[in-house]
Amino acid sequence: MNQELNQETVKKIMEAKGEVRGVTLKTDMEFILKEKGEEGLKKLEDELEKLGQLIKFHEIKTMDFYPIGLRAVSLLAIKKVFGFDDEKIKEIGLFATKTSLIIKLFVRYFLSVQRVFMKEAPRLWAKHYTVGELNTVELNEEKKYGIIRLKNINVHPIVCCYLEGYFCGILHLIIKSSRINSQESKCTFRGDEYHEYLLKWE
Amino acid sequence: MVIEKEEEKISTLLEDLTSLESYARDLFSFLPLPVCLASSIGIILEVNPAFENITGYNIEEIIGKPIEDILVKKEFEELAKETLEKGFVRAKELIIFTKEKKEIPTSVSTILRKSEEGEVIGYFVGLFDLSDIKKTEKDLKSAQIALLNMLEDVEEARGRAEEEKNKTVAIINNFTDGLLVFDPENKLSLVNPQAEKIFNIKQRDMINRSIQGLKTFPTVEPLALILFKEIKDIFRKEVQIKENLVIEVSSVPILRGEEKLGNLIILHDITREKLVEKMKTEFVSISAHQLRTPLSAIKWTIRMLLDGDLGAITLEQRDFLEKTYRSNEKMINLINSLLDVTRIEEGRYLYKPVLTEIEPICQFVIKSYEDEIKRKNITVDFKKPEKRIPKIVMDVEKIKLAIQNLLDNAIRYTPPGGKVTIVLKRGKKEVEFSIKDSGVGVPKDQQARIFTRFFRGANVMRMDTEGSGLGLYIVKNIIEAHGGKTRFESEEGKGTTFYFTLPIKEEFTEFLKEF
Amino acid sequence: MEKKIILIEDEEIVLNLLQKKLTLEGYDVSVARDGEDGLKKMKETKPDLVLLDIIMPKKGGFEVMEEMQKDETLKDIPIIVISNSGQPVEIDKAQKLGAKDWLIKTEFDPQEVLEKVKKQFSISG
Repeated sequence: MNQELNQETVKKIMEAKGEVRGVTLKTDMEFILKEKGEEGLKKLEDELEKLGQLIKFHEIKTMDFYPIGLRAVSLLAIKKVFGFDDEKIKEIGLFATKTSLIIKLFVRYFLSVQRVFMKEAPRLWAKHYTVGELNTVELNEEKKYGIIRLKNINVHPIVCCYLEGYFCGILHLIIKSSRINSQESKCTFRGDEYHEYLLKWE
Repeated sequence: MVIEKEEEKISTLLEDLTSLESYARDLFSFLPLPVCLASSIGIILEVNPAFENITGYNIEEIIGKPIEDILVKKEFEELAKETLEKGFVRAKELIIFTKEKKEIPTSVSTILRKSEEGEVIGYFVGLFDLSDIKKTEKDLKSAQIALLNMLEDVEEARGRAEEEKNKTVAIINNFTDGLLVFDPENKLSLVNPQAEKIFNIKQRDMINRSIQGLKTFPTVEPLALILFKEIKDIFRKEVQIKENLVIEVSSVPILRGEEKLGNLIILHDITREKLVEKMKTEFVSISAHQLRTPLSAIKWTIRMLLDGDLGAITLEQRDFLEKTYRSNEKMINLINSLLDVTRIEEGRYLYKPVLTEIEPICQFVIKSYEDEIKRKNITVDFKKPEKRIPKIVMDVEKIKLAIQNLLDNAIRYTPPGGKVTIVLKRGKKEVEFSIKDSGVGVPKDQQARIFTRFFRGANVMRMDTEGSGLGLYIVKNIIEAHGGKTRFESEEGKGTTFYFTLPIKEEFTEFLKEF
Repeated sequence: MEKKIILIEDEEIVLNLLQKKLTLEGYDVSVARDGEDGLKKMKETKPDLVLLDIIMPKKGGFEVMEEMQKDETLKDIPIIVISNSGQPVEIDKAQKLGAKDWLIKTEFDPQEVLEKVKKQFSISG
């Protein structure tokens, strides 16, 4: 969606219902710091302020709950300020799995592919978001793929993009493979009922 | 109200969570030791900054990577197996591979992480960089090798020194002269086998004793007596150890730079030499004795011829006979001198000391040379002091002989028309006799040997071939036997002055003791 | 009357010299070359003086003197001993055996001999 990003559009996004844990914004910050340094972060914060969202990233509390819209707005602002493409957004998602505190606390449960897909993925989602449900539709370890479904959450397509990377990242933590692929196969913004992601590995 | 309370609680909880998060992060980040968390299947889930550093990977590069990427596969498998079995691995030395494929030797420790339910949820891997230690090990090894080499060299040097020492010991032990070494405190520190033989004492009985202590051994006593006085510098002093063992002793200081390490005493057996000398003297003595009678007979025969007892003789016959007579007299004098010398050497030159005046002896001798003095037209001046010269204890015959020899020399070596002056002086404790001539003198380079046996200066040899060279030797012996001293001054071409002194003894008996 | 001297000496040259000198001086000199012969001749001629060498073959001077002392007819005859070396030991012994004077063979000269002989004659008369 190439809508122009301004205060109005932001306000609209912010109206979405639900909350997200501070950790997601924290990981955004870490990515920007890594890529663009403090100056970059400052630029981002300036842009967000312009857009009517005053966010001091350093003061975000990892465990706290924030409006779910922020999740999208942050990414959108990043995209605008730095000119990132979708691939880059995916990368942010992937990166987040490596620095997220919540993931670190969860990792003890990542005992097997089966377990992660079937048991832990929904729980993990619930830890992050107060809306939406995540569960595994299909898992074929032999054929090396899995399909997960995300219901009742429509914030912004950019988040779908982010999540592609994110799910990829999760898989990296449980599968010893250098080639792990994820792709959104169904999306509400394309007219589907829910989001579906096909995860493949070799 | 309730909601507020709840919100407060949540707020507090959140704050605490944040603090906890901070705390955990700091703890983990601060750790200077590389640590990572791996899942049970070996995927790296978490690393600390130190781990990033050592492996060269960034956090996002390494999380999700299998841990076997940084280890040798086989080693990783063993590590995992052991961790699962024992629950931990302590300090296993493994190589890890960095991003640049560099190898770093590390000590790896692992600890299994289990859930409350007992499920294995992964393991912590701690690394300890051994590069420095390895380097130090390598350096130590090099140092060790260097040290070993040095030790080898030292050992070699020691071996050589030992060899040298053995050589030296062999030399000392086999040396045909006796060797004694005294340390700086004058204690005996070395005795070689030959020295043991000389003294007939075992080394162990002599070692470490002082010179005083050595005096108690009868065989060592004569040596100890001379050492006691002058361990500094002895040169070829003769010491009689037993009846047929005469040793020539010399001492040499052992110096190392300026430092004196002791004294080396060399004991050289000269028994044989002494024996040979004795035999020589005996031979001379016997020969001289044998010659005396025939010479006497010749003397008498010629005397009778000259006196006309065997008939009248012609002038020509007289001439030849007189020359023969004089020649014979010289031979008789030589024989007598030789006999005197042998007696001196054999210690048989006996003295009959009496207390008497020296002046008349001088007069007598001068008178006996009257003819010769007149013949050579030499002026002889006898100066005596105004004060009376006291009587001296002396053997009259011997002193007469001494003065005679000196006057004989003075006349013989002074050209005709020359002058001889004899002076008698009284000193505090001695009487000095001097005889000065205006003769040919003694060349500077020969002056040291003037009193030795058979020595004749090169200049007088050319002038007069008849002197025996024994005269001064006998004079020296006589004077020294009296406790006196001899000396002379001479300049070639100008003349010579000989001096001797005889002590004035207060007590006659004291003097006798010395005879 | 001439004085009789017996000369007992084994060395020929010395014997000849002494004999000649003494004879020239006017003495009656008989000679013997060894002690045995000397004693025999002494008993025959009864000399006034004996000049006796000490070291001789057959019988030495000391032996001769000892025998002379035992013989009544000989014991009073004055003896001048001729010593080879002049060693005090020798001279002493000779004197003890009755020698009145001595000559040292290697040193004496004719004058000394005459003087000593004359001296003995003047003493004994």
